[in-house]
Amino acid sequence: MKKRVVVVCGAGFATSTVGEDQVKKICKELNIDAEILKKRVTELKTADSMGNIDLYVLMTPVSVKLNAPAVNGVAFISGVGKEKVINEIKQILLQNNPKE
Amino acid sequence: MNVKIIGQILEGGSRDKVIKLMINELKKNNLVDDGYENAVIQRENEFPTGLPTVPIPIAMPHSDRKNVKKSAIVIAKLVNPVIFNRMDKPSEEIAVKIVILLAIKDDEEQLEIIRQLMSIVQDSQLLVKLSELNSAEELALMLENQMKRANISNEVS
Repeated sequence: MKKRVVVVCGAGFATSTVGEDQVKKICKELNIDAEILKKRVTELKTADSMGNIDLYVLMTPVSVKLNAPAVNGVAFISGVGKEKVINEIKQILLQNNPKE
Repeated sequence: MNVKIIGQILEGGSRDKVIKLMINELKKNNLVDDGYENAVIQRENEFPTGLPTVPIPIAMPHSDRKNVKKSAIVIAKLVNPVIFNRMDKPSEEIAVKIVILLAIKDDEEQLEIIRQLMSIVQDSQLLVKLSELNSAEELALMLENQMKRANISNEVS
């Protein structure tokens, strides 16, 4: 099943692309088919209400309640805790992934 | 890539003072308009850019291209650390020793620059080297060379 990932950034700066790069890399490694959307934090309420989202990668903190797991994408910018976040993403994306 | 890189050695002080001094340098070179300073400070208030990079915390203030005339990067080494708030935890403060201020005109260019900067700020040895420099020219030159290098390795991978 195709996964949906939303990368959330502050105000449309390129930070969300850093998150996107990483998610793409991970999906390729795990051989997972994913649709990656980039959203500004102000657009988030609507993105979240769309449902069917498997993962949020937050390049900026979010105060609204999300209906899917979220990871701290700033680790991809600072490099601090990057491996941990990569593992979290892998776990989340591999969850309930029916074997074909 | 046609991006001007400027180095600065700054004493320290408040966050806004540092941003102001860095943007003055851009204004002097006619790279941004008078609105850029406020735009950057406002954005920093809303979406802080302090990063807990190891071993030297940095910040990357920026705003959108509206007030940018020509793409540029200012890198400042701070003699005394300056308090910024963290990008991932805005309520938390972090004492920053290097500030990389971005003023980018073009979206594609911005992407490329961000990717190059990522590999630089995640390189501990390089951060230490940058923080040990004592001349503005050397700072600019080292950043420029490392960005070129990062560009090549990004293209390979």
